[in-house]
Amino acid sequence: MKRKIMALLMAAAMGASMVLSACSSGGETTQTTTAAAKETAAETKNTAGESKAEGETAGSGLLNETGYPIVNEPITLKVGVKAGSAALDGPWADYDWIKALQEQSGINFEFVEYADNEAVSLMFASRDYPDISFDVGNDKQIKEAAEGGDLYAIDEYMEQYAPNWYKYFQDNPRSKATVTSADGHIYSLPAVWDETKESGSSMRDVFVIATPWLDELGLEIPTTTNEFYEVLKAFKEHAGEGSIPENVIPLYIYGITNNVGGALDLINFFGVRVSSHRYCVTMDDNEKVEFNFANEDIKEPLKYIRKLVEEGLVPVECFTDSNDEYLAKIKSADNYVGACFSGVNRDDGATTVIGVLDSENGKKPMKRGIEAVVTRNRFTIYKNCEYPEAAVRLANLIAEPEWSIQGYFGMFDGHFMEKTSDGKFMRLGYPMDEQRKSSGVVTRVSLLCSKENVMNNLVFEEGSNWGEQMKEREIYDDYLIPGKNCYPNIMFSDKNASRISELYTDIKSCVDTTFADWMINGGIDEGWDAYIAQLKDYGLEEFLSLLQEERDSAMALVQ
Amino acid sequence: MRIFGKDRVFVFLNYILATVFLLIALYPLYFVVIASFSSADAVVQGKVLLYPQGITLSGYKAMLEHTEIWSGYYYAILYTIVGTIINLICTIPAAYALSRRTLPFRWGINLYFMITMFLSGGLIPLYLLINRLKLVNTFTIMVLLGAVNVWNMIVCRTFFSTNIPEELIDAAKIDGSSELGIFFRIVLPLSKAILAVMILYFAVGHWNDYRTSLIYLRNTGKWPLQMVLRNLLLSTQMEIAQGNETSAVDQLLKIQSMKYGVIIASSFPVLVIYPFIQKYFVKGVMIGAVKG
Repeated sequence: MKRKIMALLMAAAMGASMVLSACSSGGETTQTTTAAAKETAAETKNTAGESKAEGETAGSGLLNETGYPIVNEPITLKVGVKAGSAALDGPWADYDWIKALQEQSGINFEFVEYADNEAVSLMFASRDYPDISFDVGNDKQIKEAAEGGDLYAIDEYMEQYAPNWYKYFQDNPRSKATVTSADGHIYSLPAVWDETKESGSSMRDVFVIATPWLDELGLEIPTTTNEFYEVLKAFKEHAGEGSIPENVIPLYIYGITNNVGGALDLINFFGVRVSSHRYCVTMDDNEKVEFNFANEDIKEPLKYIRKLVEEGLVPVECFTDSNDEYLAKIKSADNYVGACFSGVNRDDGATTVIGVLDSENGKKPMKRGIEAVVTRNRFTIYKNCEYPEAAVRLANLIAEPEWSIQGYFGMFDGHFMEKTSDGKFMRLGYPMDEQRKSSGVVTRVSLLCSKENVMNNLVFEEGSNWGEQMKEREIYDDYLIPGKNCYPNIMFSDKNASRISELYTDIKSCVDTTFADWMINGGIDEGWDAYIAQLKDYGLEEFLSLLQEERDSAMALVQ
Repeated sequence: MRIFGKDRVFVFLNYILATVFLLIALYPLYFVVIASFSSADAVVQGKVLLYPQGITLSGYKAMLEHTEIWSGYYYAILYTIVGTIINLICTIPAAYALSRRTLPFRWGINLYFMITMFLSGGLIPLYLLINRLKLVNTFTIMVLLGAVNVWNMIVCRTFFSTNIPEELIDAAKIDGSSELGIFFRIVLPLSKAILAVMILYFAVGHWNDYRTSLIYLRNTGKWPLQMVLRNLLLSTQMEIAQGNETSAVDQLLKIQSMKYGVIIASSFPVLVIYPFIQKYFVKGVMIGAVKG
C-alpha cells in the first residue's frame, strides 16, 4: 500500500513538472491516469510471484551445488549497472575481469546500463527490474523494493550458497549491522575494503609538506604546532627565493569540515576528537554519541587556524574553493603549496608525508581514523531472477579472494598483479589510470576485501609507488582514532531517517558558516555562546539522541 | 538620417549598452574556445581569462583518441537525420490538413492537439507505456518519441493558412489536381521557407537532446554525442563522490583538457548549418506569426 501511495505521489509530482515544461514534449500523446500505473504495478507483482515459483524448479535443475561453472548449461542474467563514466572507464562488458568472471561462472551477463540516478529511480518506480544489479539503488530504494516484495533476501541463501559472505558476517558483527535492514534480512551485499590497523580503524588523509623548501631554508621537519607555524611563516617570508614561488600558499586547507583536504586533522592534533565522516559525530569511550564541534576544547585549534589565516599563511579563498580548485592547487605541476592534507601524497618528490604535530597542551595528538569501508547495495537480486541460487553462488565467487583483489587492482597478468610463489597477492607498480582498462570496477561490485580474505595476503612490489604509499602512512598508526570511537555506518529506521538528515543539514551548515566567519573575521571567544545557542535551536540534542537510539538498536539487531 | 544633440547622446549610450550586453553574451562562448586551446592545469586554476594560457592541442588529441566520441557522433547524426525526417512526415501534412477550412471537425481536432501541449501523462506513465510497447533501449524510440511537435505544427498551420490562398487551391482543383497532388505539387514548393525552419528546429532539437537517451537507452554504446558529453562532464564529480580522489586527480586534468574541445565539436555542426538556413527565418516564422 505504501509503495502504491509513493508511486502515485511520484507520478503526480512528475506529471506536474512535465506540465510546466510542456513545450518540449507537447506532441506526445500519452496515456495518463494513475489507474494504469496501479494496474501495471499489480501485474508486475503477479509475474514476479509466478516466476519465482518457476525459478525454484528451473534453477535447481541447472545449478551445480559446488564447483565451477556454477550452472551446467549457460544461462544469461540481466545485470543492472550504472553506466561507466565515459572518459574513465570503458563499457562494463569490456573489462577483462567481467569477461573472465563470465567464463568461470558459466553465467553470461547482459548489461542494462542506467545513465544516471534518474534512470535508476525510473527503474524502481516502474518496477522494470533486471535480474541482478551491481551498485544500483540507494538505501531507500532498496528498502522500498524489499518491502514491496521485489527482492530476494540474500541471507536466506547465504549459509548454503555464499559461505564466504556467511563467514565474513559471522566474524564481523559491526559490518553485518551495516547491511542488515530493520526486518533482520540482508537484501543487498556490500563491497568491503578493510585495511584497518589494530585500532580497528585506518587512515583518512595524509599530512604533507614541501620538504625541498625546508631543506633550502635549512629548517627541520616540524613536530609541534608552534614549529609548524614558524615553518609556514618562513615559507611566506622567503617567497620568490630558490624554488619557493612568488605566489606561494604556505598551508592550503580545503575548508574546515571537508572529509577530504579539510582542517579536521589539524584540530585532531590538539587532542580534539572530530570527524566529518558520519554526521560529524564520534563515539566517546562509554559508547555515547558526542559532537565535539560544540566542545569548548575546539576553540584552541580554531584560534590557531584563525591566526594562520590572519597572517596570510592560509588564503581566505580556501573557504570558498571548489573541489576541482582544491585538487588543481595541491597537485599543480609547478608546486606552490607548502603544506596540505590530501588523500595521497604527490609522487614527484615535491612533498613528503610527515607525522602528527604536538600541540603542547598536554593532550595526545590524534589523527582521523575510519572504520573498514563497507559500501552498501553492491549486489542485489530481484524477484524476476529465475536463478536466485546461481546468483548467490555468483556473489560468492566474486567474494573469493582472487576475484575480489583482481577486481580492485587489476588482473594477475604480470602487469597489474601477480600471485607470488607463497600464495600472496602482489600489486605491481603500474600507473593508476591504467588499471581501469583491466578491472575498473573499483567499489562498484560486491568485492570482499576483508582482512582474512584478502588484506592479510596483500603485498606490494618492492620499490613500487603503492608500497611506498602504504609505508609512509605507518607513522600515524599510534595516533589513529580507534574504530570503536567512530560512529558506525548503519541504515536508519524509517521513522528517524528523514528527521536526522533534516537536523544534520541545519547543524552542518551552522558549523560551516560560523567557522568560515571566525576564520575570516575572527571573534571566536565573543561568538562562542551565540554559536552554541544556535546549535541548540537547530535541535542538536534531539539529533544526538536520535543517532544514539539508531546506533543502539542496530547493534542490538546483530548481537 | 541625421542625429542631433540629445539624440546623439542617446544613440551613443545605446551603443555602449548594446556592446556591454554583447560582451556578456559572447564571453562564455569565447571562454570555451580559448579554454579548449589552453593547458588543463591553467584552466582549472582559473588563470585563463582573456587569452589562452599554455597553448596546446592535447585536449583535441585526447578527444580524437576517444572512441565513444566517434560512436556518439555517428549516433547523433543518425538519430538527427532519421528523427527529423519522421518529424517532417508527421508534422507538415497534419499542419496542412488543419489549415484547410474544408476539413471536417477542424476545431475539435485542433483542440485535441492543443490539450497535449498543456497536459501530459508525466514521466512514469510514459515510461511504463513505452516499456510495455517494448521500445525501451531501441533505435525506434530515439527517433519516434515526440514525432509530432504541436508547437511547431501550429507554426506551420498558421503559415499555410496565411500564405497559401484558398483561391490557388480552388484553381488547382478546377484544373483537375487531386488532394495529394495539391499538397505535393503546389503547397510544398511554395513553403520552402517554413520547411527550412522546421528542419532546423527539429534537427537542432534532436542534436541537442540527451534526455531521451538518458531515460530510454540502456546501452552506453548507443549514446548520442550529447549524452557522451554530459557523462564526460559529470564523471569527475562522480569519482569524487565515490571517494576515489587519488585516481580522480589524474583523471581530472585529462577530462578538463578534453571537455571544452568536446563542447566545440558538438556545437560545430549546428554553427555551420545555421547561417545557411537563417535567411529563411524571417520569411518563415515571422510572416506566420505576424499575420496569424
